[in-house]
Parts: sequence; structure tokens; C-alpha cells
Amino acid sequence: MAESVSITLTINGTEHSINVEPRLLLVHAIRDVIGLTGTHVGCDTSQCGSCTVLLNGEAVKSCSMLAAQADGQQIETVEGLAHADGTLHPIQQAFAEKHGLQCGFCTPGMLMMSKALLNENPNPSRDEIRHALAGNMCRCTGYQNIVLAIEFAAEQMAR
Amino acid sequence: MTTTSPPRQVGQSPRRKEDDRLLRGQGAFSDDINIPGTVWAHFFRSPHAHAHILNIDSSATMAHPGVLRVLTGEDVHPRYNPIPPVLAVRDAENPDSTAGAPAFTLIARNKAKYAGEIVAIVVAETREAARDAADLLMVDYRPLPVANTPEQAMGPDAPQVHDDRSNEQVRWLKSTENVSSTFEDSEIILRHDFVNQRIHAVPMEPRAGIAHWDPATQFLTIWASIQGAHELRTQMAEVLELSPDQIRSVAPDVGGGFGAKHGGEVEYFLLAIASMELGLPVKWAASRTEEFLSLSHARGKTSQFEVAADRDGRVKALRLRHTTDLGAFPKGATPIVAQTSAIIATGVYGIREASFEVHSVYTNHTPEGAYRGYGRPEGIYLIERAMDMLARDLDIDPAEIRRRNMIQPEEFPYYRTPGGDIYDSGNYPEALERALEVSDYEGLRARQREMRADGKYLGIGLASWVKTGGFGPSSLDPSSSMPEWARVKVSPAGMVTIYTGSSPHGQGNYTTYAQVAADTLHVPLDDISVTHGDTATVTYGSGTFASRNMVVGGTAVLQASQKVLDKMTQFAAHALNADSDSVTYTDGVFSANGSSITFREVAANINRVLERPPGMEMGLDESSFYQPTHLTFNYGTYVAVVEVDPETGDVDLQQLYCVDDQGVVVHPVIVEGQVHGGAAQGIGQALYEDIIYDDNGQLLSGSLMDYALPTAEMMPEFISEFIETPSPTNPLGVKGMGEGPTTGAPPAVVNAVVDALAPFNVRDIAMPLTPERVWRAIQDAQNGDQS
Repeated sequence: MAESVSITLTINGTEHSINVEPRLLLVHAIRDVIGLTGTHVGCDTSQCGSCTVLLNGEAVKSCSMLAAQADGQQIETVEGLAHADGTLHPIQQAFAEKHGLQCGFCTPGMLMMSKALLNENPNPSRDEIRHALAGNMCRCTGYQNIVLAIEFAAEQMAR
Repeated sequence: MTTTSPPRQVGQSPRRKEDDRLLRGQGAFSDDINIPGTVWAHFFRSPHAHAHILNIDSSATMAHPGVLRVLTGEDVHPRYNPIPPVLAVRDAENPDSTAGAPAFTLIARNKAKYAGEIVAIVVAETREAARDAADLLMVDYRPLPVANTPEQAMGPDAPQVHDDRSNEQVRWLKSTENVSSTFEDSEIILRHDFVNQRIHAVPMEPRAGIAHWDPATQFLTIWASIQGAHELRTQMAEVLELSPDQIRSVAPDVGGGFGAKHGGEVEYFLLAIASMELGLPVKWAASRTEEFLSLSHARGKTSQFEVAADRDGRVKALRLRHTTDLGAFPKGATPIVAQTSAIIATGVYGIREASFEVHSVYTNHTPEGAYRGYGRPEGIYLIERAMDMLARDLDIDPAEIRRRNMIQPEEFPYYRTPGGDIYDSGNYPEALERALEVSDYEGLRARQREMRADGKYLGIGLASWVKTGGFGPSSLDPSSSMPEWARVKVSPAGMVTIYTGSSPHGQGNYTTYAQVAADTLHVPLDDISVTHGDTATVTYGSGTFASRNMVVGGTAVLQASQKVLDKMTQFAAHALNADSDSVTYTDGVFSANGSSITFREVAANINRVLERPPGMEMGLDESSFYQPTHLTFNYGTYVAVVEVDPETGDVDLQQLYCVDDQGVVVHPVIVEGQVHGGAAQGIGQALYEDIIYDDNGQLLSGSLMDYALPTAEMMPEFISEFIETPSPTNPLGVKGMGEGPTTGAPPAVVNAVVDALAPFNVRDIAMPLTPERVWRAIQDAQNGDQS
């Protein structure tokens, strides 16, 4: 596995030109090569969604694509969610307000999925929220407060 | 001194102090920790459930680029000790004595005892190189017959899991005097076999760890995804034959544990051994499949259950034969947990006669361990299902039969059960009546009748339950007493730091411990921080398990805070020229003789020699141990509402009403979150989750593709209410609560489904209630095959 490919990833607005093995998963490029460890790995079968990031604005599971496939693309991770002045994004605030996290491990993926959902559907019903979360697993909360947080975030963002 | 409190923090729901960091992606979970020069471990695991290991050829592995070392049982066993059992285990043949269970072997040598047991550890410069090289390892096995169920493993000619002992590790009997005669005299006897299927805790963060042995200082540092740093250090010292003073153990952010991460895991010891062999930091992060194969499973019990009752549904006695699948090794207290699981089967009821027969049996399965409730959900499941069966047989409403049997409020405090549990306090009928009211039980029954007339099947399920918390009192067994420690330090600037031995991993103790200290010290929450999970900064810790964090850890925080306040009061008395008894403390101000001094002034001035009373040392830094004398018992009644489609067997769980009494509620929003999450896990057991082995002991549900971990659409609406009877066992009045919901939810949900299918004469369905099982139960009942 000596061969490597040269790619450029724009993550949270910053360009990173890196050399990676062709088989390297995007999530490992983000975590191990770039060093942004907010994106987590919770399974190896693309079920849990802890690794969810936005690729050109769309939610993707970064464990399910190669870093090389993201060459030249725009990626947003949890570290890029807060505003430039450090204040939390309304989705982050809503998770804090509604106790939408306990251990916090699935949270980055939940937040990024929520952002993708609200981009597409700014006023989702509770059923639509639950459906959108079908690929994001949480073992702590029973999901209810996550659903309430996303609903609350939608209300705040509509203001 | 008299104190007047500002608005109390305990009972409020301030925003969690831990959230900001986690929401920004700035948590530091074990896999997020990197040290320059780190190399990677990959664990090579047995593909066979039971096999002799004839030969291991690592030449191709060692020749792979980047590989540094391969370690096998031949390398590890002679030089390092196995993991000692956490608790002494009662001997099978002699119930009154204690004898050691087999120690937990770090790595297979000669024989592999379950599919997933580690056979070799490959260390390489990168994660990928370690994994690639492990694929080149050549191991010759001779497969052996498999002990695949406890019943089979107890039988004649069963394959022996351990060469030096029988498969049955624990056989334990306990009975009150008149069980047989009560059964003989009873008009009604109900017998049923139940299964609490094996399930898996599935914390979202897979285990990960990094061990760093520094040869120059002869000092080991290990970061690991565990529920208690100190316990790991203790075990690590024994395994490695080091002094605990040569080890720093750190539990950084931990992404859920639920019991499964309680106690050292073999992988962490092997990381330390690899680091000591190489003098380099060695890291590992488990894949999800590794977690299913090797992180402990739980619940696996089969039970033969009998109750004796009169025609009014009053239960007089029960008999239970309870068998646990231990898997191949005894993790933690698992062999004796079957006993605590059995004795709680009298539940919230005043049943006077009971006999318990418990078998804990080795099989060629992944080891069993703790999981949220640790035995009690299985015991409660039996009595709560039996209550519903009895109610149906006698044509009594399920609520009424519970009402008739419950322990009455005047029988507290300290109600002693036939099994020997001592329930601290409660009002069980109140929880039942409140649950009926909140769920509009009568209205649900009316709706059920209407829907049945339309060919729709609504089901209503009750479960009244009780669960142990606040481990562990010295009165149970002095050798297993588990105190907790806290230190409260006030800086000269008036900032408070709490150090605790109970490290949270989602429970919110950064916030709730701060609330406890804030009420004593009258300090804003923003001025309080919590430090935990690191043996370098925390002197002592038992850890986080058994619903103990607020009961035991919280009381230690309270005691240490009071010690700080006492010293501050003495200082204030001196500063104000008064007796300490005449000093009042109100809203952060000490007053006496018409003058006053603030908390911050005391914090600053106590470090100035000319200001202190003679003999007082500078600084505000106090610690305290709290050793509980009794367990606490939280309880509640849950009501599940389901609609079942008999054509497909699909269960639509619509609502779960939860009425919980956990004593004083410190942070209602966090406690409600624990109810949701615990109930969700209980629902997972009732409807979805199953650890399935094939006939060869191969795990079939070993990934999240195969193991039905509930997603958002599979969860109902939770309605959570509290009643509060303060526990008399501790000054906070708390009972612990995280494990109640996993205890209450399974029987409530199963009772609801069976209730929905009463028109089809379905009497029982084994968990998990998948559409297939529900559909088959309907067909079987229609064909006259009683389940």
C-alpha cells in the first residue's frame, strides 16, 4: 500500500491538500489526517450515523466513502457549525436547551443530519424528523429530546 | 451556625455544564487521544467457539511492512497474571463458603473458549498495517464440540468450557420455611417458563484505549473507555505486577457504558503489555463487530416460575428456578448476580413465601456482564408477566390484581423481602394510581373495547417494578462495600472544584454534583467545575454503576462541601469576633454581630496568616468518603399502549407512561432523560434486540446490520412523571434511578401486546416480539397450540 493519491478537501472553509492511501475512508482522513476528531466512528456497516458530515451541503456518512472521492469538494463537520464569533448554531443551542444529548458521542452526527434536514425542510413534523433520523442512532436519549430539539431549532431559525 | 439557602439548585434544571464542549465536537473520547509515536494494535480473534489451538505461525505477519510485534498466549501467559474476579463468588457445592471463580484469561492459550476470544495481538506502525498483517497469521485449530446453552452445558457428557472445573459455577438455593405447604394449600397455581434473551448494551462509542509505558520512569499511563478509572488501575496493577503508584488510569469522555464498560476489559491489559514490551504508546479502537463479539452480553436467563395464589388473586408464594448463561468467563459480579436477579422476583408485592434455585453456567459464548439493571429486569419480568397471566385466569383487571398484592406504605421504612432485600421507602400504590390517572387507564380500556368492535387491537400493559440502587453498603458483604470519595476545593478567587470518584458518561454529573455543592456553599453554578476519571487527580473512586452516582457520589460531594463550609464558618467567626454558633450564612454572606464577610472574602483571606485564627491551616480543600449502610430501591409503575396488526404481527408502540419514584429529584430534566433512555433500552429488549448464536456457537447478530438497535421511528412517545418519597438512607434523600426504566419497560410492553391479542387467546410471546413471533403466536393460538 505504498501508493498514495494527492487530494484537496475544503473542510469548514479551510483547504487541506493531503496525500492519502486510495483506500482511506473520508472519516479517517478527517479524524486522523486533518485532526478534526469531532466526527466519530460508531460502526463499520454504515448504520449508526455518528460520522455524518455535509458534503456540498448534503448529509453523507463519511465512513461510507473514500477520501479520494471527496477530492475538490466542500465538507462541513461539527467543528464548523458554530458561528465565527463562537456563538453556537441554533441547532446546537436547541440540543442544549432540550437536553438532546447525554454522552455526546452520537451528537455531532445528529447535529449535521439536523442541519441537512432543516436546509431541505425548514418546518418538519415530528414524524418527518424521526424519519430523517433513521440513519442516526442514539443509545442514551430514546430520541424524544432529540426530536424536540430539532423542532425547537426549526422554530428558532424561522424567526 | 444557621444557614438560609438562596433558591435551591437541587430540584432545578439548569442547562448541563458538559454540553457546550460536546456540541462543538470538542469532546475527548479515547479514540480522539493521540500521542506522538503511537503504534497500533489489532486483536486477532478465534473464529471458533471452542477449539484447541495447535499452532500459530506468525512468520508472514512479522514479515509484513510496519509490523513490530506479534504476541500470543505463549508470550503473555507465563509473564502476566489473569484478571482477578471483581467479587468473590460463592462455591457451587458449598453455598455458605466463597470460592474464586476462574480468573478471566487475557488471551487464549491452547484452547479458545468463545468465538471472538483473542488469540494474538499484532502491533504495527499504522492501524491499517496491523489489520493487514493480522490477515496473514496462520493458526491451526482443532474444533471441539460446543457448550451452546446452559441447559446443555449442565447435562451429562457436556463439553467442558474450563478444564479445571465444572460448567456450573454457581448453584444456590434459598427458601423461606413454608413454601411447599403454601403451594399445597393454594387454590390457584400458575406455572410458566420465561426467557430473558441475551442482549447487548451497544454504547454508541465502541471501546478504545491507548497505553503508554515509559521505560525511563517505569510508569504506565492508560486512557480507556471505561466506567471507572480506579478499578482499572487496581486490576492493571495485579495483572502486570506493578504498584498502583506506577499507573495512571484515565477515563476521558466516555460515549455510554450502561454497565458493559464496568471493569477492565482484556484488550486494555493487552495494550499495556504490548506497550511494556515495545516501550511505545499502543492504541486500539474497536470495530462494532468486535464489540458484539467481545464486549459483554447481558440478561441471558431462562426461568421456570410458579406462583401460588387464592381465588382473589392474592399471591401467597413463588418458586423460581433461574439459569444464567455466563458465557466463557465470569465478568465482574455476573455469577452471583443471578441471585440478586432471583430474589427481586417478589417485586413490589407482599409475597411472604418464596424459594429460589439459581444456576450460573459456563458456555462457549461471549462472557456475560453488567447491563443497566444487572439481573433485576429479568427477575421483575417474571413476576410482572405472571401477574398479568393470573389476572386473566381469574378475570381480574391487571391494575386491581396489583393493587391487591402491593406492599403498603405503612410497611416502610426498611421492608424485608423473603429473598433478603431491604426496601428503603416508598408508596407503591400511589405510583400505580398515578400511572392509571396519567394514562387515563379507564379511558384506554373503553377505547380498547370500541376498537375491538371495529376489528382493531389496542393493548394496555402495566408493570409495577422496583430496582436496587446506591451500591454498595458494607452491611451486605464487607468485602464488597463500595464507598465513594469526593474532594471540594475553593480557590483564593472563590472558584470551586469538585473531584469525584464517580465519573459520568452521559449522566450529567458535571451539572448535578455542582448543584449539590451550590446548595451548601451558595455559589453560582458557573463558579463550580467537576473533575473526574483520572487517578492522577482523583485520590479514590469506586466508579459509575448500579445507580450509585447521586446516592453515593453525591452524598460524598455533600459531605465534603459541608466540611468546607464548616471551616469557612470558623474563619468567619474569627473575622467577625463571634462564636461560630452565632454566625449565619445567607446567600453567600457570613454574618454575626452586625457585620459580615462574603464567601469570596473568606476564600481569599483564609490564605493570609495574619487573618486566620490560631491553629487554622491555610486553604480550603476538604475530602470525604461516604460509605452507604443500605441500598436504595427506586420503583414505579409504567403503562404501555400498543396497537397490534394481527395480519402482519406488527406492533405499534404508541405511548409509554412512566411514573417513577427515585426519591428527591436533583435535576428533573436530566432524570426525565434517563427515564426516556432507559425505557428505550427496555423497549429494545421487548420488541427488537436479540443476540443469536447458531448451533456452532457462532454469533449471528454481530453487527448493527443484524442486531436491531432501535432508531427514532421505532420509539414511542414517553410521558414521564415523578412522585417523591425521600430515601431515609442518605442525607440527599435520593434513590438512584438510571436502571429503573430498563426494568419497567419490558414487562409493560409485553403485557400490552399480549393484552391486545387476548381475543386471539394468545397467552405469551417470547421476547423480542418481532412481527414474525407475534404473527406465529396468533396462528398457534388460533390452531389451539397454547404458547
